[in-house]
Amino acid sequence: MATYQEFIQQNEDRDGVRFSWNLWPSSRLEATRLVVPVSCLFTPLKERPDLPPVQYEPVLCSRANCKAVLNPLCQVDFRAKIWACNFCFQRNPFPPSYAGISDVNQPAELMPQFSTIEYIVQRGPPTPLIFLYVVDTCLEEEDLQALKESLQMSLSLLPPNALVGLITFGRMVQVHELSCEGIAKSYVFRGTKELSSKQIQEMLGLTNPAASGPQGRPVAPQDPAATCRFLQPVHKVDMNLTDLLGELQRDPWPVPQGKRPLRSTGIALSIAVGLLEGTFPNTGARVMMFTGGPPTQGPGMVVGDELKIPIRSWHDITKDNARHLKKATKYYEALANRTAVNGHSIDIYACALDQTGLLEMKCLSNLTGGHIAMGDSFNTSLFKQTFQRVFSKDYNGEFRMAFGGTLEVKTSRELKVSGAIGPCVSLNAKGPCISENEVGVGGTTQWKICSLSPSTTLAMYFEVVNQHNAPIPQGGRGAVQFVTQYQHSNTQKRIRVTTVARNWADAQSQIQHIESSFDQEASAVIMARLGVFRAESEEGPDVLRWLDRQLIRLCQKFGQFNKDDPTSFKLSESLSLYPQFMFHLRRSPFLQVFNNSPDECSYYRHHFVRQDLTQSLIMIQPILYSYSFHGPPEPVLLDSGSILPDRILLMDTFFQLVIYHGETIAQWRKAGYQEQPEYENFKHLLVAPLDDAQEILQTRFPMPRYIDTEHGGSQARFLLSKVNPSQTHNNLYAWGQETGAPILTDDVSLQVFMDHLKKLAVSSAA
Amino acid sequence: MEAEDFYIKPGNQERGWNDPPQFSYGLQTAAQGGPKRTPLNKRVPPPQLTGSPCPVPGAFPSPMVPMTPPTNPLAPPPCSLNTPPRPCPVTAPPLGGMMKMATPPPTCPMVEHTDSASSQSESEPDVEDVVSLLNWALTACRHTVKKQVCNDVAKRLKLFEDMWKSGKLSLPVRRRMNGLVQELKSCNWDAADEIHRALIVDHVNEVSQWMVGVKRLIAETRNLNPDLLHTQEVDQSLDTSSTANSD
Repeated sequence: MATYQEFIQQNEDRDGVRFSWNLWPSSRLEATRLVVPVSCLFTPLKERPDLPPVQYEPVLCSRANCKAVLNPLCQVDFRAKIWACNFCFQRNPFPPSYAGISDVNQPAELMPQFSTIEYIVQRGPPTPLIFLYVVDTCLEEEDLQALKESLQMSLSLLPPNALVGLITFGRMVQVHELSCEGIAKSYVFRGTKELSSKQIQEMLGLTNPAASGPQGRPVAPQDPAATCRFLQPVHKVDMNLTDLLGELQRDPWPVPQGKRPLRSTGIALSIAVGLLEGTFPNTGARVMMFTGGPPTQGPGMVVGDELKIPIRSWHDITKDNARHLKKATKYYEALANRTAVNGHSIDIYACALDQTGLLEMKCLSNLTGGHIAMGDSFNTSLFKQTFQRVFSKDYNGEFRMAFGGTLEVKTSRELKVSGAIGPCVSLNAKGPCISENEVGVGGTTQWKICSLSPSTTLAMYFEVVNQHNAPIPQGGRGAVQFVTQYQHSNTQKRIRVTTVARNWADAQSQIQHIESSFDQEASAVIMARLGVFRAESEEGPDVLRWLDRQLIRLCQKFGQFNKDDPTSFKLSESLSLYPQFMFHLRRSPFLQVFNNSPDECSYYRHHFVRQDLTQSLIMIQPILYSYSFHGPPEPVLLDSGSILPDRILLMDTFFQLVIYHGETIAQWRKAGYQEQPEYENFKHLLVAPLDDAQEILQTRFPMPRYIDTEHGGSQARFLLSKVNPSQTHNNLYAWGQETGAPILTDDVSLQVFMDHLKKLAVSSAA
Repeated sequence: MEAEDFYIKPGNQERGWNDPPQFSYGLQTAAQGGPKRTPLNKRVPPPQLTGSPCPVPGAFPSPMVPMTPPTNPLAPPPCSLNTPPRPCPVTAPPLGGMMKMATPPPTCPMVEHTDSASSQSESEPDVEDVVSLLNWALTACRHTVKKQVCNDVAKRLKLFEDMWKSGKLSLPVRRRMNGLVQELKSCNWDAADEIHRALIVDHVNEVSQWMVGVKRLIAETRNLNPDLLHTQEVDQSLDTSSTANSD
């Protein structure tokens, strides 16, 4: 087990890949019997401080429908200067520049430690990054002031040569001209009239042939005749724009009593997308929309302006009582798809006490890789710091954000690609590697991820296509190659290639080995993403039933038990955490919509289907660490039994950080022992979880909420609702245990869940 | 950056429930570069599946309040919940090993930014020094940079000076601006730029109106022909209104 753990970790560190199975079943039939498909989590731009990019272009296989990149799995004849593609077996000559290679002088891309390698591609002029701010002015004064300051601050955080633009909206939509001299001008649009992209460009005066360069290519910004008046380099317009932002007023249209402000979000976004489409298609651009309430006017409206009609709840949706839902969702989906085709992304920063329409608008970010930040007010540290972190830099001082990503996947013959789940759209690229069974975004081997970060992670699903009893393929290994092309924040175009392989195994004779190669953490996240994907179109209970069925089947396949004897049931170490993950997943806000608004649900799911493995697991099953005088901090069961008077608990759910002080600790703290010199130990104990929490708070995107609570505190509910309720008011005395805090709930506990699971798994009637 | 530039403020609990604390720019950038100190990512399997006896200490611990922690000599007696707590003998947490100078405890768990103690030990920066250095750079720019831009910058530098003189700028802002102009004088453009960024992130409501002028000044000055700056220094020594270093 130790060796597979190490193997798994090394591979993740080097390639950013975690497979559900690290030994692959050699036939389709056996693969389906394993329940969890052969699949992986892939982080295309995983941070690799030790991997310097190479300054040449990748060498490709010459076969027209292959074009795989030269990699360490290829056979090479150094004397004849020929290499054999490991995917299609085509023999290719090396290009002339490789004349000097030999087995003691190998190019980096052939060496095993460069299974992941990055190329800098020099073609074409550097294209600047573009940031288009779309700002809601129907905000309270305090919020507007805070937002204005954050936007002014962000001008200092943008990449210096970036182009920047400003659109403000309320009842009308204003596109601001950012000229450097004279009076400030803007173009005003009605917030109700839908316009085509062409009309928008005409009205903004962008269709002058001299204003655009050759097809699809923006002209270099130094050319004044071609520069768009609405998107200007920040180093030229920063002072004017700072003043312009400083002078922004609340939307002037008076809001009568009992009404909401008229907010034309739909038109504002359509103008933003159209503006970028007409001026800078196919270059890295972010539309950053800041809004303080739901769209109430024009296409894409989510709720009307009458306050007495509340914005749709889950109840409304299930009763089919959400008037605007379908139409608004359709509107934003069309806009999102257009944006993705143009290679641009849309961020939504929504700060309000009530819902703002994230349910309808989420596709704008989900399809383009943009961010969604959700807060209560723009005048909060949560918004301010989350927004600052959009511009965070890596160990090299370069921005972490990347643009215009396309991912292509190649597989060896025995494997086909079923699809991907993550912040991407399909490029509809046909090829020999496509499986007929679609999972997630399928029917393609290429996807577009318009905005990426080092943590962006896709789940990729494969299908084994070998026939049953067919011999194990020659070489004994299957391979997958991921080719990600993207625009780095320094505007360079880069290509990152990751090529991985795993051994085939005959499931009939080697099932134990296959079992020990199971990565339960990756599999939990992979199945969870499938569940969340289904939950978008299926009924909640159906998704839970499906999840349960998969879990039971997995336990039936791999559990060690005597038939019909639940007490004999055991799972090996490689699967021991999996049922607990599934238990917590079932109770998570990703699958339980009760107690969360539709917007909150959309927000949680948005982050879940793009985070890397560690963060995704935290979301499924929060981490719980216990701090006490007994020794160093230790992980404890996410269980009510872990809540003890003399412990401090730190719980990380990804969206919240909770520090919970047990009853005795709370009393000591109240009595002020930490202030007395002889109780310095206690002071250290109090500070320890804060220090650990601080590390998380300083780096996580988005910024989590921070809850400092104690036994009996009202905020303790955040902890109590997450822990497994092994003790409730129903079983407190029956349990026979006197420790831990009972939870008032009727939820099934992990013990009861496991008992049922074992019973079903061992049943011969199954 | 000074130690005072690494601070944490509480969040805005009035506008956002459970608003997290706010970290200064210095703290945030320091954290982003390096790897985590203590990754909290371990979990414990439930005992009923591995077939082994419960491996996890603390999952089913003893029901009593802790006795002697291994490293401390003195054991607190079990606490009685009904008696009021007294320094000793009841309800005391285990004693620390050593007596140390008592440091005032933080009133909220996070350290609050204070203007007192350590910062007062430094001398108050001189507004004239700072302003004259900024003007030195601006004058150098006037040779090549567009008039409109220079005037815009001048307008904001004036606003900065007025705000300083009327006491509207806090000590950290004044101190850091002094640091910024020193970096400017030494032609450390990146350092100056970083200070401007830290200031606008940490003190946006004080600096937002004029900081962009400083930002532009740094950007334009760094692009100047270096000879221009040296000439400028010579000119400055003849300029009676300047109090900058001559030579």
